[in-house]
Amino acid sequence: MTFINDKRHRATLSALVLGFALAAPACSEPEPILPASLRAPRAIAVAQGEVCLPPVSADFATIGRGALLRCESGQQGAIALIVNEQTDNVAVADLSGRRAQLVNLDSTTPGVAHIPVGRHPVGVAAGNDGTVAYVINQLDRTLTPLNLWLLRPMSAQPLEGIPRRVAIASASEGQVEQLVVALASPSRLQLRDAMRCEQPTNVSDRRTHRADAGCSELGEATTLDLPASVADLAVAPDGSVAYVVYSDLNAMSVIGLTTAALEGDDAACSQAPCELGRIALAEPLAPSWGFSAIGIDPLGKFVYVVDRANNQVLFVDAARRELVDAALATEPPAMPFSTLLGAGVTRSPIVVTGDVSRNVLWSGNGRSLIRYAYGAYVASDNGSIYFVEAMNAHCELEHTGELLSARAFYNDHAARAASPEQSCLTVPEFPLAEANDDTLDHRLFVDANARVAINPTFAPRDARAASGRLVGRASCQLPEALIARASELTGAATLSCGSPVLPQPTSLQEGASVPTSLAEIPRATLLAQRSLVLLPPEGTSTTVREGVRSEPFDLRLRDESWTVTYEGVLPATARIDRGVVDRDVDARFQGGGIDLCAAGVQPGDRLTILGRPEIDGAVPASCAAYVSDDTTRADFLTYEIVGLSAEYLELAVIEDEELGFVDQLPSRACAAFNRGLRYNIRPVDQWLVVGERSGLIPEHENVGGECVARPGAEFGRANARARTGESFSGPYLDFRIHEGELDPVRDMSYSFQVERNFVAERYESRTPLPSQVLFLRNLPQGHFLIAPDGTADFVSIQNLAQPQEGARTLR
Amino acid sequence: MKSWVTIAVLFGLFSALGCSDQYKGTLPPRDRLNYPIGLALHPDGRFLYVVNSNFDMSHREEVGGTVSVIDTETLQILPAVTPYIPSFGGYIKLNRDATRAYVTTRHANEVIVLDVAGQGQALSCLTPGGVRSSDPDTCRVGRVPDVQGGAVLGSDPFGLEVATITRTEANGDQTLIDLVNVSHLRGSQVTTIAFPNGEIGAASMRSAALVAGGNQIAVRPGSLDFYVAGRSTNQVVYFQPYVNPAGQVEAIVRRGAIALSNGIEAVDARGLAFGQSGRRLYVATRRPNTLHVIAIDPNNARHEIVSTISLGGRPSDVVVHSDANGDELVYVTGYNDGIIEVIDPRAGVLVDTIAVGSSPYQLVIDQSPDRCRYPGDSCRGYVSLFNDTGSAALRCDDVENGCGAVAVIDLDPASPTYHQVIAKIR
Repeated sequence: MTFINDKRHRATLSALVLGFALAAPACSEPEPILPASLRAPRAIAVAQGEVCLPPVSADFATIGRGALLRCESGQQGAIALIVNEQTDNVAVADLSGRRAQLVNLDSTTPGVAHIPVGRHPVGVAAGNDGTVAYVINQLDRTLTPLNLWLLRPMSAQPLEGIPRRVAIASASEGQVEQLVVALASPSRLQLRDAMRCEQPTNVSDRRTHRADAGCSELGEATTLDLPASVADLAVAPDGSVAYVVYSDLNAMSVIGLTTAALEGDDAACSQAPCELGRIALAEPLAPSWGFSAIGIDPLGKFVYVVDRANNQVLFVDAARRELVDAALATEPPAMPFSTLLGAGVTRSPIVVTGDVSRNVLWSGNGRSLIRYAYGAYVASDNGSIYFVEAMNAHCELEHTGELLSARAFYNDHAARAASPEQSCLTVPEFPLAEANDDTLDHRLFVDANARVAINPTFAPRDARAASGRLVGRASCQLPEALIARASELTGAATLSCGSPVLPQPTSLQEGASVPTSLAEIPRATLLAQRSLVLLPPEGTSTTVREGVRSEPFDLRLRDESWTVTYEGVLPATARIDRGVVDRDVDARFQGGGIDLCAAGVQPGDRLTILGRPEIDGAVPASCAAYVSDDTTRADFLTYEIVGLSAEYLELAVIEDEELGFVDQLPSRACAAFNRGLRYNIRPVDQWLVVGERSGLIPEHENVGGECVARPGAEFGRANARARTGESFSGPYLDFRIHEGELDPVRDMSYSFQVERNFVAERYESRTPLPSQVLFLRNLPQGHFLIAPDGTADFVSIQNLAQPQEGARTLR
Repeated sequence: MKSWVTIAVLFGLFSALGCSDQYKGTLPPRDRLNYPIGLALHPDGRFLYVVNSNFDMSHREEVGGTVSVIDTETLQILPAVTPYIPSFGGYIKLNRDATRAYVTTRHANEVIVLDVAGQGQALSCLTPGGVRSSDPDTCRVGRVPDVQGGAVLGSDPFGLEVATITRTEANGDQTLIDLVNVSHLRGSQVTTIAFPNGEIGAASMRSAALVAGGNQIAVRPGSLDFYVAGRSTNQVVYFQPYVNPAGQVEAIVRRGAIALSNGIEAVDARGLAFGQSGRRLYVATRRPNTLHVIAIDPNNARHEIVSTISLGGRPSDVVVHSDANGDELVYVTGYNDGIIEVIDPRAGVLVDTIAVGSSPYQLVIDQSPDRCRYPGDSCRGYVSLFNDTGSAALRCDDVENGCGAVAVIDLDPASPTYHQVIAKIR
């Protein structure tokens, strides 16, 4: 009481209270909490044109009764339209802020009011001027235009089929913006001039104002029959062509949408829409699983196709209308280890959208250094969205004046085409050059005003800063005979795995001085992914430098150990007990069910029949020639392999008295050979290289019973043998067998561990079955990655400019 | 004193007899549907069989259900030939020559084996003495062999699929063996019971733990691969029973599994059905509400999900039907929404919805040879409406003597009532 009665203390207290009262609202902006109102949000489009939402009220997320506003100069709209498949309406959300906010269109009705449309809406597209959007209604087989000034539906238009997809083809020079609708039953593409609505005047209540006032009419439709069932379509950013993929055809159609697109094309097209060509997306004999989704980047350079059945994303060079074979286009080529034509995506990819990122790294003196990354966001069924990169490029550009603004660069195709920066945007044909080009000069493209360094990727991007590596020291298994010899040589009682007297795998180059211990030397060099980059000038220099970045090719690595064994047993033959001497030909030996091509057997290898030729513990007289005088000898029945097919081996006697092997071919005349025999096969004076998970990499495969080189084996690295003193190149590692001072002894081996540190760049979406993925750059307060899910009741939205906030759900 | 004791003892004795639980509750009416679930059509389409489950246990538990025999020409239930079955009946399937009907019941975890009359006009339990009875007592299979120590059928048998194979004996005689495959809602078992010539006494049985919460089973056309949808897993598992030359099922061989989701552990898979060629499998799940379209390459047994189509609330059954126009359509019952969604799977679009009534569960479509061939042919589907009362204002508690109905749907594309309910049977 004393404290309060004091005037100074009362004043202080009052000031504190007043200060908190004023400060509290400023610390956090209250967000209106709306009841959930989305029901199976299937599709989303964002109108980024002339129309802007008025301020959304903080209490009930309403926008008042008047018409929407014309955006101010330099501003563009950010109105999201979300199709609710199960409630036959379109929800409106404001994307102009840091976070998306659903808008209640009518506060006089309970719940959150949306725009009513037809039955079972499945798609939406917004015109580039942002005044009209179009919703396709699958059950009604209609199209509902929306007047975005009023957020009201206009009269539904009947469609000649069941609508599947809708898209906008931008107006190219001299053309009008067009509406593209993909129909099913029958499968066809419909094209018509789009609408435009002028800003209405004297709107007292947009809920009752005539919806089509001030709006043009939809044009007459022209239709093109399609060869199969449409799965998805994407329209080039300039509106010239559309790309269509099918659920029952392994090809993609390129459809010309404008007269200009038809001119000069070899296809016999007189009127748009017209199929200009078809691009095969699979091997000729592959099953027709079809494709589920397609996307294109904002510059129209790459088209991305989701092959859900094979868990991959395919890359199509849009300008050349060719599928890029990702396994060949990466450097070094991924063949023969990858059988995919595209980039493998973890889990089941479902939908895709293309993107090109553009970062100005440096500007000065009429030049700029800009980095581009071409790729796509792919949403999978595990609640993740992955980024798959096609290529990245560094461009040194000479230019007068300012570079294009971000908005102009992405949205104004004509301005971009006319700007000097166009020289930076050339996509070369892939693959670029021979795989063994070490200088990377083949990745540098020089133009009149630009120098561009291009790096093919065609794979998910690595999100982890850590690189793959070899882990710890190698272990070794040394036969007693070798240890004894080494002791005689060195005088030491013990022998370490790193002793330089021993032959062993090492990354040490030929000619390099050998340290006293090889234990700390990396056992192998991991495959590197090399990038040619352009670097900003340093200090007072004005020269843009070239550089090469090299780091382990994490994507190619596997978490496994590798074992290198001198004259080791081929793994597939290690426990086999079904080898059979041919009934008719003594020199022929049946493999007993194993594929000898895949087992890595080669002529020159040696086969040993294990055990003694006994029946009931005794050697039959007919088998006397196959028994050694030395009863402890286990390899007496060893033959040289002089020929092979997938099923049998051709054997020859080894005529070396010193080795003392059997001098007769195995024959059924020996009674003990009339049954399955245990055997193994080893190379001669070679080291076998076997991965714990990769296994033994054979050079050949079984084709019609014969061993032929595997496809892609010409690119090297498909081998499993090394020789002492020589280099070895495996699927993702290189090493050399250091000769040492002692000859290697059979079954001596070294093992070392490889650690992979690849984590695909991913974003959380929480959507179990996303029906669309959208990436929007340059919205007023960020870049938004959006995934609606027609099987759920929410849309996943995240502002990548605010990564700390993560994914949020709009309900 | 002694007389009082005597009276008390006698009273207690009679009371005990009179209060036996075995005889508690009434018999269910045979002229009425009562929480119908499973349906089957006789091959010639004339008779429809409906499993009534007594789900509210308003009748005697051990014979609280029935299998209604309905004349599809008059749409009338034939009470006299409608047998009783235990409560909580599930699915019903006929064997290849339509001489036997098999029904799963969960009251005592049994399969009921019913005799089908020559033209399908009656169902009955054939007693060992050859007498046809409506009492299922001697037609209940819950233990094989039915002796102490015999293998017991697992808990909650629900899904059902029947295939008939032929075994040729050394003397050239052929035996038809009904392979009755059962899924279990509780646990992870699937069960195969082999009935030589449909005879209970000669049955053999094997079970295997394959899929958690097994729901429906379907056999791939042209094979003996049985596919099971699971409620408590994210997989569809397929298996083959191995039957020895003596006609006994010796093993269940797991052949593979299809992962329906990489992000959800239990997708609550409900209905599944194959396209006519056997190269497409359609599976409806409730978490999320989706139809999964799976392509099958018969050359290498590869199964891949090629598309997913979002559905309305709580799909239950999936039926594939080639209509008179030659188009293969997929019909999915939506338990929550009271509709059937009609999907063109090749185009990936919803082509129609059929409002049928409350809680549609299973759908059967008339596949008899003279139906549904051309536009203008009679073509009908029948769907069980589990708790339909005929009025949105009424609940099952408000209705006496049974709840539920079967809706009759016109599937003739040339008909003005195409994809509409033309009748309801109660």
